[in-house]
Amino acid sequence: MARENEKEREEAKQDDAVALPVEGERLRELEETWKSPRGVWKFLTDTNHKVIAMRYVVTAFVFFLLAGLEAAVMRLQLARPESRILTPDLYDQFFTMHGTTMMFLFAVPIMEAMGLYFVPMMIGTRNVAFPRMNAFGYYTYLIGGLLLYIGFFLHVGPDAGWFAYVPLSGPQFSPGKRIDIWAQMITFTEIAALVGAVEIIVTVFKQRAPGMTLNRLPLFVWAQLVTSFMIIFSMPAVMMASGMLAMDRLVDTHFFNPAEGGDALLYQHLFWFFGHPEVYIIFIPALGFVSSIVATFTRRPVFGYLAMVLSLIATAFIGFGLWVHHMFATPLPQLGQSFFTGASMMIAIPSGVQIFCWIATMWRGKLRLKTPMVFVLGFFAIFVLGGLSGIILASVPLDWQVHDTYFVVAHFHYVLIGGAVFPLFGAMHYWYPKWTGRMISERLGMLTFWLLFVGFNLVFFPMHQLGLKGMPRRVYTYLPETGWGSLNMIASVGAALMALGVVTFLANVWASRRAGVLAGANPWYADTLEWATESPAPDYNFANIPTVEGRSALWEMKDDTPIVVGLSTECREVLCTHIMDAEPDHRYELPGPSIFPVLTALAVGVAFTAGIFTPWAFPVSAVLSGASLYGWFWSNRNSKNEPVKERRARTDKADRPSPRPAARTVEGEA
Amino acid sequence: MASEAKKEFRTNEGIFSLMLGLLLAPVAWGAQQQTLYTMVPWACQSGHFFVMHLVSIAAVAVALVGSLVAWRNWDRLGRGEPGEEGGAAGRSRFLAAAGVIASLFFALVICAQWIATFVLHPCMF
Repeated sequence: MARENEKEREEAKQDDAVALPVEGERLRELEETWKSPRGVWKFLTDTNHKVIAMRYVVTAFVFFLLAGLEAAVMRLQLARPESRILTPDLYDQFFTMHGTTMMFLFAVPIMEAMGLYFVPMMIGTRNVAFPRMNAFGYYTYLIGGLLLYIGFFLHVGPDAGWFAYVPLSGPQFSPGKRIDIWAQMITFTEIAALVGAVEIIVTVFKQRAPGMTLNRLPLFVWAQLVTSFMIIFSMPAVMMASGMLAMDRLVDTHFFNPAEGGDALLYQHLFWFFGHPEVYIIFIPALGFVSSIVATFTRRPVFGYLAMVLSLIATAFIGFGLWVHHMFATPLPQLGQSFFTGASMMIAIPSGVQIFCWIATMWRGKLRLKTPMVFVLGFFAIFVLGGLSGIILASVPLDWQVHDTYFVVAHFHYVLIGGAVFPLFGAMHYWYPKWTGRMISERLGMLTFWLLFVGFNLVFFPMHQLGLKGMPRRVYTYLPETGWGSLNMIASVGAALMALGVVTFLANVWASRRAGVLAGANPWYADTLEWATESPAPDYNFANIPTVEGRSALWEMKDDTPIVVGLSTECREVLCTHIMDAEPDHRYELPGPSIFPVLTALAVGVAFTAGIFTPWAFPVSAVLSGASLYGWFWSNRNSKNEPVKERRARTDKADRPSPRPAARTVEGEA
Repeated sequence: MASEAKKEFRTNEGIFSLMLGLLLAPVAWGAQQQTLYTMVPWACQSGHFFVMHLVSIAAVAVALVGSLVAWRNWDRLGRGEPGEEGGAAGRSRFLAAAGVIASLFFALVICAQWIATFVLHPCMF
């Protein structure tokens, strides 16, 4: 009995010790606990969300540069009629690689990466929910990208367009391994996307800081949450499509072969059931960037929070009801197509609502025209134009007139570059101080913007006219008599300006990293929690987990705003909260660095890469994956999952790195 | 009344009701679109064109039920502005108000898709 009492006293003593703000010795212990490994081992084992997300960003940006180079070569080819820089075969590979890279290896991964980096910080936690799975996702993505580009450099690059329609991509018209590589790359990147989506959903639902109820989530987080659900519902369709295509090619199934009872249109349905939502998967995170930037640079919360959230949700739903508008030129019943015309028109409403909410925010706020904000203004101009041509294409007869012409190329570049790449560049300028601890040069930033803005419009605006004049997309050259030469030359000059803009951006990143002004924790006076910690953020994100008392967490943080106490500094413990109200629920120990995610990714890589050549790759990979997963789970056996204990607050010390000292802790967990 | 409602919306039933108000109409819209799209060849062959109208009427009705559920929830919460108040009351009011607006919007989208069945014949290719 006495021994039990002593044990209880000892436990109470320990509890009291952790019910204090983390500082001094315990802060050092926290740093040690969350410290990432160093060197090559770090690369292979690290599970910190910021490290993994930054790898995604850098890798995706390298793919962006490669796809940009491919576009530049294509523009060189098309600058003049009857040019012979690229052969027809190589041109096919170039436009396929360009589209595939931009959509699968750049746009989706980098948008998700921004979420993987900032969502945990914005909701006030220390890592994503499943850190090892997060690392696994990155390695599968990297293997998929490498597979595609190794194939391309070995002259086995895919050549049937980024959507690889059958029967062109089927075994009859595309012999060899080119399409197989494309199909397997899809599987890799979609696994990675699904992994990232699960990470974000679980993290948002279970690890929000106390007080961050659903009606207080930052719009950036809403955008990432909505996007993640879209990924979960859309990606399986394209994995099915590419898997069935691979099986048609490798093991003689006939899913898409009408001669044997298959259906070629089934491929289009499956692909576009993913493909159209993918546009929103790329675009909706960008809306989150825009909301963050607009709020910061107008110094007021975004107007119409409810309308903004509803617009995101409505866009996500309707985004799944538009796919047939990519198939208007197929022999589907006109009535069936018209349902999708209706939906395509209606999706303009939530997009328009968001634009008006941002305009209202700017109207009522004090606008500061810094580089991120200027990119947002560029986004408004370009995206609205792209949206208008989208309304045109939603109409069946108009779509028939310009189907597969450069008008369509102009439209989707206006939507995707205007709607996603401009906000992304704005976001990279905006969050650069948080990434590096230094401000990025405004002068070079503005130069980047104007080069990209002018260059973009020079490239793509003439393409509307080229399309109306009948220039089909994906032709490797054209005759002088067509009269398309001058507009193509303008477009190619614009491409050179865009390339210069990207070079300027890279130079700015490099120079500012070396000699930029030190940023401090919150250089923009922004309102979201990622700015509550040092720049760059430490491995543990927050020494003391903050609590939230309003939508603009930092702007509404008071001197006595509570902080979370009671989390262990001896292990990688995070606070889990309830889904709806973010009330503290339990403490959970996250796993640390591990070699097994990369080993599992390699095992999966064996299946889908060697599977192109022999079906024996799959059983071999199953054994390797099983062994690797065994190690993964076995090494995680010590994880704890403890309910939060009630503890009395004992101190009024401040949260060290917070921009506003939080002077009061609350009972127990928060 | 409002405090009872706050307690109610902390229970699973209350949360289910909030989700129903928010999601019923979008689901009705998706079901209408997919059902109509799938039905077109059948309607052409059978000549039972009116069934397509019945599907749309049902979808609008379900969407309106969604809006009623959401309205009822919002009403029980005191019809307050869906602001940034914390706790169960704040997020419930937010979800209820979102449900009302989302349901009405998706009812509009259902009608937009319905229009096509008045204009085009299912046998047109």
